[in-house]
Amino acid sequence: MSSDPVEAVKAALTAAPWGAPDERRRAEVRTAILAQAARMRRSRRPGARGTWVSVGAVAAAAAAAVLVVIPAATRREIGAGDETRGPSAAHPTKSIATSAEPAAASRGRVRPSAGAVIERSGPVGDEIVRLRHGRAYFEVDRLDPGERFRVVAGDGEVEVRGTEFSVTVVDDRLIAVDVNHGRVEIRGRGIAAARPHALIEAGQSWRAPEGDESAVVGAPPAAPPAVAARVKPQAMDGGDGAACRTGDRHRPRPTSAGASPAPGARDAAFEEGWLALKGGEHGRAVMAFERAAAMAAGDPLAEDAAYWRAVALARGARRAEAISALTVFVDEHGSSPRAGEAAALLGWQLLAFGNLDEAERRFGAALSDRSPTVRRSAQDGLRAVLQRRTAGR
Amino acid sequence: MIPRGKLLPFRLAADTGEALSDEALLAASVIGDSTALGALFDRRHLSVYRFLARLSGTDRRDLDDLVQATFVEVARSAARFRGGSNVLTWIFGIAANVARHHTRGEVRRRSALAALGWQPVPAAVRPDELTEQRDIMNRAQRVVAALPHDLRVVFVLCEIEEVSGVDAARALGVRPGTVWRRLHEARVAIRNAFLTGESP
Repeated sequence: MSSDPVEAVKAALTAAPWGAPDERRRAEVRTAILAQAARMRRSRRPGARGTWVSVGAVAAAAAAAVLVVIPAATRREIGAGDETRGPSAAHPTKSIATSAEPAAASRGRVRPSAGAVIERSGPVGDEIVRLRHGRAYFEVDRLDPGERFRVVAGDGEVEVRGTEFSVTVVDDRLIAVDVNHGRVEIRGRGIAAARPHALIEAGQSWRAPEGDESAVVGAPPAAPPAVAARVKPQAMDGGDGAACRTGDRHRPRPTSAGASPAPGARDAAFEEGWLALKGGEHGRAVMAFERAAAMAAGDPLAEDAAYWRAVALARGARRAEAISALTVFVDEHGSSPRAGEAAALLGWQLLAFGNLDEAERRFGAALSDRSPTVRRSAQDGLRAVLQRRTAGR
Repeated sequence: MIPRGKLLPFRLAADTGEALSDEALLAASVIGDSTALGALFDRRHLSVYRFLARLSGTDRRDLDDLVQATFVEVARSAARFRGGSNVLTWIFGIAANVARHHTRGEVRRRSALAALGWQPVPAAVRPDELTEQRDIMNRAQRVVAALPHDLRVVFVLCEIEEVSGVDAARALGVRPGTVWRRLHEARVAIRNAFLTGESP
């Protein structure tokens, strides 16, 4: 022990076994914080309608990571075309197939494909669909802050808000998620708990890493016209009604996951994005480039669409998304002729956020670009970083 | 055909938590990105939990409430963050204020109990726990807990969390000289408490 009491106290407090909140309690606290933050935003800006508000509300419901405990429920196979709503609060756990008349309070409708094995559990407001095998198509109403709707497989879970999407599970392993509307968050659980979270939007798809799929799943159920027609426009608005996301409503639906759209459709989407960007319609441009990129996966057009989508995000002042999109672009397309330009643009976005170190790194990467304009921008950026640092001292 | 093993074509919030700095996450939460707020909570809640534990010495249930109140206040005040200190230090400053209100409530509660002539009975200590190390730890906690709130906050911030005096001053909204004075007073109080065997 140190002879100085102050040092002794420091050592004791530093070494004290303070522990940590247990995972379940931590998740409860997290959910409560996000729900409260969403309520604060709504009370601060009554009637405010915007993408970020919608995104925030999505995350309020979607971001809480909890240990999902699935009660031992009955299992049975669901016939293709069966469509049910979820359980009522009075019947928290039952197989969806037993419920021909859906509970009015449920937020979601499920259309399983042939051979899908599904259970539903949880009260309204925290519904869980346990998909053990097969594919199912989901249509979920708008949720209030704090409400949740999750699709759970053995090694992953999908959390959703106001959206249409399909999930494929093979032998209790999450294989694929395709989103038609809205957003879903995908998380690893169980043996795949370390898998990075993913948030995917309308028109995007997620696939499990190679080797996860051990069987071929039958053709996915396309969004049935009856289901699509039932979707109310406000269901796409998110928690506070995101007027600027109206593009979702008119977005062409992917025909089915994995199907290659006609090149004409990809080009048309790209062209639409380009015209929208030039016309200053940044939100529409983002949507169009997303569509183009989704349809052009594996094609060089996808790289261009990814770049211009990031530019549209930046010009639309959606900085957090722009930073994320540009980071992904620069990291994944390092040899792209646009990499330097993207790095410089990323540097400016990071600078605006006050992340000087990272901004400096990105500007530095753009210094060797072949375009003198990009190099000048990078030099200006480095000077701006220096000025901010000097001013901060 | 969609290649496997990664998201296509974009990753949005999937990267947010990892790629963005605390400042970026805080800025995103200002404009309503709850995913960013959630990522900030995921990244920093344990630090805040331990800071509050060291500061307040309260029980686990109260700590959860304090952490929750802290991050709600973070969400409420995010727009006022000016980058004067780093985000974690700024959050510590908020947590210190939250703990101060909590402590006032505790003091009132204890005063009410004292007025009724009743005090909670301390939990019995097993003889095998009466080791020197544990005794020192308990004593250290008692001594720090007995410090006035302002001195305790500065002591925990600067000595335990190793925040610089300037950063601590920014986070607490006081002058650096005030931080140094409080830190000096806290050290003196702790030394006196150990010498005299009494609470500071």
